[in-house]
Amino acid sequence: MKKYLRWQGLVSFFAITALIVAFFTIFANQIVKAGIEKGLGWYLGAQVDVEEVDINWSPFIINIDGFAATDPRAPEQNLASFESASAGMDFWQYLFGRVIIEELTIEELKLASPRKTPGEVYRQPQELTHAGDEQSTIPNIQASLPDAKTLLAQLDLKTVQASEALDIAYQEEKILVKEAYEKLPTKERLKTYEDKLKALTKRKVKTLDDVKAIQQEYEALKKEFKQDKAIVDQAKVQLNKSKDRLTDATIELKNAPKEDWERIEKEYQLDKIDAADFAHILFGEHTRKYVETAQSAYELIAPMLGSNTDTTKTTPVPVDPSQGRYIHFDLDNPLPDWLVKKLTVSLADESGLYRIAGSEITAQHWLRDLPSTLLITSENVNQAGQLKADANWYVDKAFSLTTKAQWQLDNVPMPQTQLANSDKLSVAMTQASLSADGMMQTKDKEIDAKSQLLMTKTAFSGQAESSISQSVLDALNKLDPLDLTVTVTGSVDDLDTKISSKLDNILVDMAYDKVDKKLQSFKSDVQGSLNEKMSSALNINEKDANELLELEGLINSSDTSMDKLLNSDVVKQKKKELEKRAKQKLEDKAKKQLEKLFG
Amino acid sequence: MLTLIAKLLHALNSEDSPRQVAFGIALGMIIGLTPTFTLHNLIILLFACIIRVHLGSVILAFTFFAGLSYLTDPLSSHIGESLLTSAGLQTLWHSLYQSEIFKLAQLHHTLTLGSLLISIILCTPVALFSQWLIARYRIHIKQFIERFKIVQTLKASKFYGIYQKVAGTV
Repeated sequence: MKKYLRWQGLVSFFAITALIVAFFTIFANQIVKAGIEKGLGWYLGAQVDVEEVDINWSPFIINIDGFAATDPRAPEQNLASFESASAGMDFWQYLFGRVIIEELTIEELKLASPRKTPGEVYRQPQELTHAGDEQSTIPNIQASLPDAKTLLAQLDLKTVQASEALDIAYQEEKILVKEAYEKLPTKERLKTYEDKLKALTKRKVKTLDDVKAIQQEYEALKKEFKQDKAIVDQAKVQLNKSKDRLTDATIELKNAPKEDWERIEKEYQLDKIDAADFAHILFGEHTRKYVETAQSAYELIAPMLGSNTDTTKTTPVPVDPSQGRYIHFDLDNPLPDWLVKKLTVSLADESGLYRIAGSEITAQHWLRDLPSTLLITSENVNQAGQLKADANWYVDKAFSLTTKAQWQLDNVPMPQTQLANSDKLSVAMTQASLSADGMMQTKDKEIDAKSQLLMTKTAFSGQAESSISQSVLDALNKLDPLDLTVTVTGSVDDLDTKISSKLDNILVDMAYDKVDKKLQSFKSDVQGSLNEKMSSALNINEKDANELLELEGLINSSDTSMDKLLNSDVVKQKKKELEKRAKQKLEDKAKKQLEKLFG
Repeated sequence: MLTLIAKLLHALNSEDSPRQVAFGIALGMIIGLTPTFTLHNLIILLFACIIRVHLGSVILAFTFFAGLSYLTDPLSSHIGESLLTSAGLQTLWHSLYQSEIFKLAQLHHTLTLGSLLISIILCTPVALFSQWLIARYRIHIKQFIERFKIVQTLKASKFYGIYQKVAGTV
């Protein structure tokens, strides 16, 4: 046996192994520290600092002190920092590439805390597309509305244009109608026609030749009539055209004051009082910041929710052939890639101290069929308020994420908050006590969240440039309680944020009260002036209208006379007369013969 | 580099039996061809320490075959991939995967499995061939080479000093 074995070799082996183990044990703290700083720094894209790492081997617990991760969007502050954390890990599972933490405790976690020196940024994060970026503004109703005369002089009003157009139309059409009228057959000419016709009518007919002669003369006369009749018809067409144009111009003039008023309403934003979204104007920016924070947090954890090594089980992925790859198979008792069985965090924020208790924090819930749960409580939100929020979420095998959360806030004193700061309105909420409750549900990337907030003991201060802004300020100071309903819906990449409040209706009413008299007087002045302009334009053209009516009468009279002449059938009349005379002659002859016969 | 060549010569010229050197080379080849920090290499290292093989040959073979592995890795990885994804072997891999030792040995890694398989297959032929080669060297080539003038010149050089240091004859 001795021939084949060397026991001193065994000693050497264990000695070397012990040396290696000792090396890793001695430098484990530094190795883990460097691993956290480099690994997490690479993941976040910015500098990560760890003051000290201490590893306890039995049980295996990693203690981390003085952690600070730079916010790549704002290097002068931390994304997150904490005083100390301890993680009790399953070392055996760690050897198989799984991070199974039995209990994770983080003390004094701080979000967005300032850094002593700005951290290094390794890569710039992608810009988020934020929901509700559109800026709402206070309606721009001017403090001093102009008087009606100035307004009418300044604005290119439709009433003025329409009255001028009507005037021009009258002048032009009058000329055209007059020209047509002047072409008409004169009264003398018509009289001549009448006389000629009368002469033909009076002429005695004895024979058929006489009738034929009358017919010939009548046909010649009729030819002349027709020529003149065509001129009369042309005049009538021109008259109708002129009447149509003038009717259109008059209708336009009559509608112009209404259209002008609508334009003035728009110009001076008188119509915007109704539609003013005061709640969004005042609280939209703050809501947007909360939504942005939630979006950033989602962006950070989204890659973790999408990781699943099981997907590589049967799908070959292109890899460097010299490196090889791991191929995983189903486990009879599977465990997630990472899991925090119990989580305890104390979050110290400038608004207070929060206790966070969680369980089953992982991204592969289907493996243990347990959802992640989180309970956040605080008794001193802004020194005196209470918070209770709970959430649970579950990722199934198809990576479909389902989340349910609800929260309740009670009597939270609100710090002084600048709500609006523009040249028109500057409002700061100097005091308020906030109570709120809300819920959120998500399915994959779709979010449906609703919060109802109630602010009592409110006090506001600020400055207002316009009357509407002043109304907003006055209304805010009189309102107690102040309610807000915030809804956030849509896809996480494109969220739709809506803020509504009774404040909107109250402010609209108050704004109306404030400006109503001024508005009414302004409205009546402007509308009066517009109507006056319209009436005067209509009166000025009345004379022209009468002249046109007179011309119309004359044209119609000529037309009637011509029709009469054309319709008179002198030939037929004369034929009848001849027949009558022949008949009479025959009767007389018969009478005479009868008298002779009967004595 | 000079030290390595000196070690090679020492192994060839040492009093150790050709079998000891040959087995050293075979074990070193397994360590060299497969990914270094793996469970099976730890076991091979333990064997190399306990069994009377020539340790210098282990180190030498490891260095040589580690360099050679850059050429063989794609083939090893391909063999591992074929085996692990073979439909007929899925039941076997599934049952082995339930074992923690299997995962700790990283045998579900294509390169590790493929290279380990290649090196195990090559182990016996390499050992036997090395043994034959060393025996032939000692009988025929050693004396033949030592007759050359250049060898005698080399013996007087710095290199020979290193060789003697390695051999422990100084």
